[in-house]
Amino acid sequence: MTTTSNPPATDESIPLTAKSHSAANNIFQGISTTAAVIILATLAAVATFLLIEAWPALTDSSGEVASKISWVRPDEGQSLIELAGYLLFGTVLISAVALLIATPLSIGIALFISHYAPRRLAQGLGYLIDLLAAIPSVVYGLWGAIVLIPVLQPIYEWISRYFGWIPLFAPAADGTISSTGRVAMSGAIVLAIMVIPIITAVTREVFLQTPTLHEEAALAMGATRWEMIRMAVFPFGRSGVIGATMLGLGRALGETMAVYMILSVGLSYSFGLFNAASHNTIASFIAGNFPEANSSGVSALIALGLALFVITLLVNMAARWVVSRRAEFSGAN
Amino acid sequence: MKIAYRAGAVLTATALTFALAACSAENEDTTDEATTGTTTEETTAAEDTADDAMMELSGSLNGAGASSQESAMEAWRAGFQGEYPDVTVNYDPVGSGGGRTQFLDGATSFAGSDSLMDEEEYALAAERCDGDAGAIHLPMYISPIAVIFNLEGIDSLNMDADTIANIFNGTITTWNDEAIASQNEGVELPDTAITIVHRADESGTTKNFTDYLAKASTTWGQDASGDWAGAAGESGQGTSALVQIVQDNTGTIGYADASRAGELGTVALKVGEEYVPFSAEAAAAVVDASPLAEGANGANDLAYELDRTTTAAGAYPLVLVSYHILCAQYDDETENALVTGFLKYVASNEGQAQAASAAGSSPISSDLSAEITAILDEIAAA
Amino acid sequence: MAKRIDVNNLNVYYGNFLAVEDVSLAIEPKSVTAFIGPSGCGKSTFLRTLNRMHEVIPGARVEGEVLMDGVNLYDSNVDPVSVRRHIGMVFQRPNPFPTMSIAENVLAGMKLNNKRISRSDQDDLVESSLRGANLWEEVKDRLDKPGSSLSGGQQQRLCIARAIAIKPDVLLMDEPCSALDPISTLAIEDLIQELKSNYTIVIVTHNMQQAARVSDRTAFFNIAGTGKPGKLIEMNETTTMFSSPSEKATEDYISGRFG
Ligand SMILES: Nc1ncnc2c1ncn2[C@@H]1O[C@H](COP(=O)(O)OP(=O)(O)OP(=O)(O)O)[C@@H](O)[C@H]1O
Ligand SMILES: [Mg+2]
Repeated sequence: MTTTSNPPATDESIPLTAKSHSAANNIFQGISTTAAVIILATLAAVATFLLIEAWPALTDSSGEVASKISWVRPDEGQSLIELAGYLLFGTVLISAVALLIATPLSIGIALFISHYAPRRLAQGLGYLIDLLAAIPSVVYGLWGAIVLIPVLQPIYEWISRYFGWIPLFAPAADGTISSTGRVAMSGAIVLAIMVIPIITAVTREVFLQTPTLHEEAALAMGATRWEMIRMAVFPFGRSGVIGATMLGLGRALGETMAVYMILSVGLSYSFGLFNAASHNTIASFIAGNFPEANSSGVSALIALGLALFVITLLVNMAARWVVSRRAEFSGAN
Repeated sequence: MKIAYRAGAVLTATALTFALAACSAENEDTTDEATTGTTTEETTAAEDTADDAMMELSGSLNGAGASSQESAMEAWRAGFQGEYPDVTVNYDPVGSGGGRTQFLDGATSFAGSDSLMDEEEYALAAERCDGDAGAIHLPMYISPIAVIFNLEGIDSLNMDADTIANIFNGTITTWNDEAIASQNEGVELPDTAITIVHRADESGTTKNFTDYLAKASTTWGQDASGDWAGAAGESGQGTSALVQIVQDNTGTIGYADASRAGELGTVALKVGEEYVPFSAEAAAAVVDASPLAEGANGANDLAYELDRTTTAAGAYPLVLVSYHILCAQYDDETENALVTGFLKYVASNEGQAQAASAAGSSPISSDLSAEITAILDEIAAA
Repeated sequence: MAKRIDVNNLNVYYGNFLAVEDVSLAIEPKSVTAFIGPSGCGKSTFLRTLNRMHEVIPGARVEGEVLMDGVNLYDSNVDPVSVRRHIGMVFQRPNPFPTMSIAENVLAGMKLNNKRISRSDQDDLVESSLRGANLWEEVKDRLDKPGSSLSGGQQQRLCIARAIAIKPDVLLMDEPCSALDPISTLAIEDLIQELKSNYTIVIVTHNMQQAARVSDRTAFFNIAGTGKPGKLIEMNETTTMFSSPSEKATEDYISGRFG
């Protein structure tokens, strides 16, 4: 050692107990812990808020609160709880159909970008998809209501004529389907278009992460590209795809504007996706009835919001369970 | 376990959406004072002409309520602020219910409302307002509601209230039904199915339309309701969507603010023995012909019980009347001057003309305008 | 079964980068051929051209011919997929499919060929392949466990089992023993000796003793410097190569002297 300014400790071997880099470590740990706590606190705060605000409606056994709300009509089978049932059904039906349409399409697009398209095209497409994800839902809603629906209605007529025996496409009791196309199916299609970018973006990333080693293992065994995808890409991306779908479902369940602008609302437990005025969703119902609601109405609407919150929670838990069932085989070790 | 984090993210995102919606939902008053600012001069000379006092106006005036008044309010604000550059008028079109709540909470100085206060709200108003006089309604915005339809080549049809009620409760299902045809001799009616279009959201338009059906017809069989309770049909959120649906589909019939009827066919209502198409004068006439509501808060509370069954010549009973709700007494001089000043402008012929050109509303009659001005002068002078 | 391979004037590129230049050599059937040479000289690259795995990398291409029993693998009407079904490959790093069980890994190639075989035949194939790769005893009680639950050396042997389960004509092995302990290495070397009677085997190795032990013929690749293409320096009977190489560079490399 030629310099004398060195502290004595560095001349010796570094003692095992020295915590030389602990400052950065502590700061980072602090930041991430804070972030986690904030998230949890927000969640708790929202849940608490919803509960408190919804309490009058939730505990309204005498029907006192409900009697002050114009859209609650117990004598017509539309008590608050029955209403919630219809709306939950509508929400889940429309979201489920949307996902049914969106998921395969998204996987297809993501695969095309990650494994089929030439690199230039793939980049352009990927960029485009990300852009689509950024379009506000009002725009989708407007486009759906003005441009898409008139195109879809004749197609619905055709489908219900030839495939009416499938309950989803069956006409209403009077043998007709909506003449305007403002039906659950249109809502589901627009929702699907809205969630496709999200599911695609996440799925594409997951597919791109597939280890080359696994892809080459499949190819070297004489797998075609599709077989390679089935052997290496899908199994590897499975949990990611489920996660992406849940992300899409989350958006679909809570999406307001698109459905709000497209659906002719109604209350029923009908599976007929082409039937006029048969469905509504919780989010769209809240948006439609909030502005004119009195305090009882607000409480009841928030109770409906709470129901949506719970549904979303359940769906997510179910998804986690599905994924964790085969965690052993996820390859993440 | 990547999914665990993703799932968490979904939840949080949803939760935040709720939080935001909920926050905006709450309408909590952030300011105790609805008005801020000062009158530069003590209004010592109360017996002076009101104009002199108003020359000195400055400060900001906050209101909230019915979205039906939104475009008219824009015009009123612009006009009033043009005359008094130091005044800022804010109006939040949160909806009638929200507007009344904010007013009763003391967050705003006045409310815009498509419907009248109920008993409970009158009681709350008595607490909220200075003195014992509580709050009053002043009809400031009259808008005829048109029954609009889309049939090729037909611009106008005559219908009585029973026929309209039967169409909207699903009893009459085709356009060439005898009930319609008999009132429209010489009009070639197609055998197209009737598609009803109603509002999906709760609205003052629906409330007034169903109020008309409930009172003027014998066949509606329901009470007035802001939330659609008639036959299921197509529905749109807000006036624009409803009009859009009617425009895009032949065979449809709906109801909307008359200023939005555009090229669509409209229905002339049977009043007495005549059929009256909507017009500004016809709409104002029914208000003049209507009595005040039973529960009204004294003579200054111009809360009308609209006479939907009027037989007054040339009256069009399917109207929406939107009120300004204000206190009968404001102890704060600034607030008093701002509220009465602004509302007097709104009720003036000039203000009503502004609204008519901006929002297509029907000006209140000059008699009513004078009556309102007198009431406001009385409050200003107190 | 076993086939011979003749390579004529092969240039191998990554985009514009010429990685291996002008290689011509012959690989005899039912024999073991070893590729040796310093790191980065293009052994793996060249090996991957023999079953058309090279072109899987974006931008990668070759010039020249690779003939398997006289058929040019790079002919325009040859399907790379079927080439790979005939020429199996074991990679430098073990790569069992993590989402499949041990047994499923072994049967993966079988499923690709769409052969419907009975349950018991499947079991037999799993057992014989795993025995062939000298892994059977270690895994026979946990065939339904994920392939990724094995140790690195076990995973490599699983990959060998997977490769021989499809009974290829030629088996390419890229440093198959680099992750293995001496005992497993010996086991694999024994395996190579056994397989030789049925398959044509090409093995890349950095281990001179291994090359000397298992191979019949050895090819030495070298590289003139970074950025330069790798070249085949000489190829000969293994015994000749190790006792009296004709090139100075070969002798230097084998005896551990460089530069
Ligand atoms: N995917 C690739 N893209 C571009 N260049 C590559 C790629 N893979 C390998 N190379 C280059 O090609 C040359 C040969 O590499 P290769 O992997 O064939 O060497 P090797 O002889 O197998 O070395 P080692 O003994 O270390 O495995 C090297 O210069 C390497 O950098
Ligand atoms: Mg290599």
